[in-house]
Amino acid sequence: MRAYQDMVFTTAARLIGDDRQAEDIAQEVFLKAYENFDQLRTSSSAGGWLKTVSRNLSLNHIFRYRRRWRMFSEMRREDSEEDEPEVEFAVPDDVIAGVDAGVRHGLVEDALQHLPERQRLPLVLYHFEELSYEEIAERLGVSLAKVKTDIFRARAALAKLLAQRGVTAATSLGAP
Amino acid sequence: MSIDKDRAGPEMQDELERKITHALRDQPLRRAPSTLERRVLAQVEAGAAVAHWRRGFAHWPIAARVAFLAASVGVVKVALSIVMWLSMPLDSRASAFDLPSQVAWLQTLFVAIGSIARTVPSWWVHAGIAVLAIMYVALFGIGASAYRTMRVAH
Repeated sequence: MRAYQDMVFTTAARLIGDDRQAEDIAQEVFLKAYENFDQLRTSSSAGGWLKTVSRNLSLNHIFRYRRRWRMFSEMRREDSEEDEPEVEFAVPDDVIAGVDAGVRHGLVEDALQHLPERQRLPLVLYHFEELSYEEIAERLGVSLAKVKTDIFRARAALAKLLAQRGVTAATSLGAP
Repeated sequence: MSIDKDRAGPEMQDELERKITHALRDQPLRRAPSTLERRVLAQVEAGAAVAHWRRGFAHWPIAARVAFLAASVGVVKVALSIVMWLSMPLDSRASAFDLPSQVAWLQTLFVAIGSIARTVPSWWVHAGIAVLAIMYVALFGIGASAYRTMRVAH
């Protein structure tokens, strides 16, 4: 368990965007692993199994939560363009360059958690889970065009957030 | 004003993807909370302490599963026999079942129930079934909502 707990927790935390819920999901993943311990003990793909289960449970959790609150929040946010990021160019070669690696990693994780869910999900699935656009569209139940648009907007929003957080310590993204 | 994806142009999109890929590359795993391992082990121990009959059917021992299935078949058979007996005409029941005197009251009870059932208008029965179905669905919905709400709150 110790060999995989960071991977399982990270997968859930990046998808869900909430550490407390991610820990709950990670716990559920390891309990499922315990139920299938006989198969996993001799399997060379135990890590892949854990990652897949972690991803699936996280997405199930998100969809369950989303259905519950859709009437109150998601519908309003879907139509809102207020938080759409501005994409400003030219982008420097290294986003938040010059910042210490440890600080940079923390800034990236923090920025990811601040992305709206509809942007964070496809972005994480694409860049960290390495799913294709088609796989993401199928998994999220949306059109391919929407996935591409959401990922584009997520990248722009992430770039803006990183620039805001790293602006005092590094070259800012989109700075004149 | 935001720049739409379609207006951004492929070069701009490619450049943005390259920058973000670069920023996310080599992003290390986050450290799991120190409480995670303890929580998992506690859950495993709690699960092991639960009696088999309180777990899912798949966790029951083979003998218990077979016995449960046999008992279920028996209950279904008895229920069908009762229904068939109730549907028989009154004068032919005595010859169909010759019950011992100790449980003769059962026969009287079933005859009484059957007589009452035949006098109830059919639409009453249909309306009763519909009301029961609605109540069941409502109870199921309320229960599911309460469970999910409390589970999230927990």
